[in-house]
Amino acid sequence: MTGAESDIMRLQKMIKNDNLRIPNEIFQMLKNDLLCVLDGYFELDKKCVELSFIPDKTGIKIVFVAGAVGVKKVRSV
Amino acid sequence: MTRVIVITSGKGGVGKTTCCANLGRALAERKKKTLLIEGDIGLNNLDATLCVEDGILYDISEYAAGKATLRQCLLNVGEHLWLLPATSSTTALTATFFSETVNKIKGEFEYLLIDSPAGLEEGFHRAVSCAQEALIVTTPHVTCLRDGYKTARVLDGYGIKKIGIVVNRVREDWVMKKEIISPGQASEIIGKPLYGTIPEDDEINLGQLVRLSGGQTSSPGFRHLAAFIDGEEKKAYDCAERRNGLKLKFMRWLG
Repeated sequence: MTGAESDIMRLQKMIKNDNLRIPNEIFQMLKNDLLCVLDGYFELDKKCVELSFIPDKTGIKIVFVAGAVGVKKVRSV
Repeated sequence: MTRVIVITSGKGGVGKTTCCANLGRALAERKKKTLLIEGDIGLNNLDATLCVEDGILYDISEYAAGKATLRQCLLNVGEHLWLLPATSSTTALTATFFSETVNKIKGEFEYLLIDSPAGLEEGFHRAVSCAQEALIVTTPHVTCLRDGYKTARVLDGYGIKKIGIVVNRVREDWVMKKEIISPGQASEIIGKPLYGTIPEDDEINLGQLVRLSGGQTSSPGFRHLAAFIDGEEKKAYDCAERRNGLKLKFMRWLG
């Protein structure tokens, strides 16, 4: 691998990490949307979702964690 | 119509002031009435780069304090070239005041080049707030490109539509050997078009003014950059590409 290629790889990784660390309102919106979707199906124990972004070689791994005490009954019209 | 261009980078020491001064000189050489504005207030070096530090009588802070008129602050530093210096900092020099000053003077010039300070804080905001275009100066190094990328995103946030990059201190031989990132790759990383490249030049390192007429490695870079910005040249100067072309011609000649 040439110096330039290795620099580009380092930079791409750095920029991806930097972008993920920048406080962004979109993350909060995404959390709210997830919470809304999950709340439609589950009895959530806490009204919160832990959201994290982990950059890896192939892209970004998006991990969310939420807890529920039960499943909501499916309602039909 | 006057073009107000901020010369910025995010990172310090990449050659913003050198690019600002020599781009201004190259535009003036093209008979374009150009004003260089010191945006790095208090840490000014545009005057020293142009070797006119002894000629300053008044600066923008004295204008802000009402001790001088704006016209008295303008220093003629060559044919078609003026400097608005800023040797000391005052709290009166807000982004609003700076913008008002620029708007007041811009009608008299074809180009206004604002030399922004390093960083993305107050001084950057002051320099950027009155610009319509931006030129991000970077070197082909990881640290500068990373900051250049962030600066480009912040400039996008300001709504500046015309943003280009200049890759400074390019060692063509290293680009050819793929030891360093090429200007084209730098442009792709930052996500903004390449406006030009400035080859590494020992004479600049020795603190000398660039001889735009030629005979110096950086001379064609600045001349071409001015021609590109001015619309005469349609293709940005890429010194590495030029060298590659010469190499190919030589190889073809060898058969």
